[in-house]
Amino acid sequence: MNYKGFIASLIAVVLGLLLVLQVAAFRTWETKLERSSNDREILPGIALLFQAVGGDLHRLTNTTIRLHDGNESVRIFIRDAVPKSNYTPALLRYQDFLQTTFANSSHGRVALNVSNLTQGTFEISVFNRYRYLNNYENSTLLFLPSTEETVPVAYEINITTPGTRALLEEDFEWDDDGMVLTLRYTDSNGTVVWSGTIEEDEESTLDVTYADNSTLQLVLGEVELEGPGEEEYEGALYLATINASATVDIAITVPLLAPEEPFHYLYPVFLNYSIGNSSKATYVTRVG
Amino acid sequence: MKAFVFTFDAIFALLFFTLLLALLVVSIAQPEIPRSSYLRQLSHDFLAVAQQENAFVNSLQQGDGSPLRDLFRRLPPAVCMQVHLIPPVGNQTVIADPSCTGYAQELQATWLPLYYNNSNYRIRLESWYRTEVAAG
Repeated sequence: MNYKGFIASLIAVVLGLLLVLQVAAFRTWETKLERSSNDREILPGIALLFQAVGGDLHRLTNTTIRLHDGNESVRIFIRDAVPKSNYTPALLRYQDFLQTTFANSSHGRVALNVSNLTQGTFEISVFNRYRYLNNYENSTLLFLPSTEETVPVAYEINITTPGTRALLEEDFEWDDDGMVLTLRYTDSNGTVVWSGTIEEDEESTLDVTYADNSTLQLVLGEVELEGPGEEEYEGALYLATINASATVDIAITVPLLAPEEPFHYLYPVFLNYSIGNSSKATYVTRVG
Repeated sequence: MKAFVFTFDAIFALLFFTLLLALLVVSIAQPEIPRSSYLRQLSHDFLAVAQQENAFVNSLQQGDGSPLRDLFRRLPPAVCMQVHLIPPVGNQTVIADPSCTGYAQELQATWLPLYYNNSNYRIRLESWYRTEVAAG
């Protein structure tokens, strides 16, 4: 019997099978690549949701914040009101909407924790350096640098109130060095402007009493916070009203950021969104 | 020399051909990027630009959808998109590319939330490849 031919044919069949297996392996690899590609494609969609929620929080909380990164300076723009309107009911409705109606539509899972913003104070963290707070229960507004090194370079402040001025007292600690201040105050009696350089570690104050005995107080520089953990800040801003209302526009020039400092502001709102095999869970941030 | 299927020469030829074919398949064949991936990327890009330009809020404020229709004009000619702005109650607003009619078989939908004027909207972006119009 001629075995050589038999063996040769067997080899040919085996090689043919190897080719078929190789093609099958390639197709499997192609399918896996397509699946992982689908998962990767979902990530931009998740990022879009975080961006959308940031924009919604911006509109919902009614505090306009914008950041500007220049070559020689960084600026923070804030527009807000004192007392601030209570956004908590709308925020809680939004949380419920996102976790139920929206999640069902998008076939994803959403968890939004807004508890840090529903305790009476609106708060954001800017560049991990500054805290901005607006307490809508006691009508106080604060801008607090974290350290002496992060004290602002300049404040430009516009305060507008509808009140009728009865008494205006100012005590600014002007100096050759310190923070550059431009303060424009407007009420029904007109506008007063102050500009110069004030000391960041001394207390500069503006006190206004209105005809109806309501009051407004502005403190710049050294600000002491009372309470369980008494804290003292330099280069800070404090604004409070009693039975008065005011709109504030603040532009704050701050020292340049270090490379590790993030160029964003952060809401203390934790968002967890997952769809398919992809997910993201972090605090909501925005540049504005 | 005869085998039970092929001759010996033919077997060598087959062997050589098989090896060449295997090399060819591995080196040249690349997985085709699905059209759906491109459409999804475009949809995400559109939504990112629309958010950046505040087009959804502006469209609701102006009431005519023109900010979004302006964005549709920047799309590649082969792609159609349509935005549904769905309020919590009442009728939704549909803003469509006027040059697109009907849907194609492959339709992608992307959802985003939108808070506007004390209401929680859902945004639904639909995108598809433009179907070719039959000649004559």
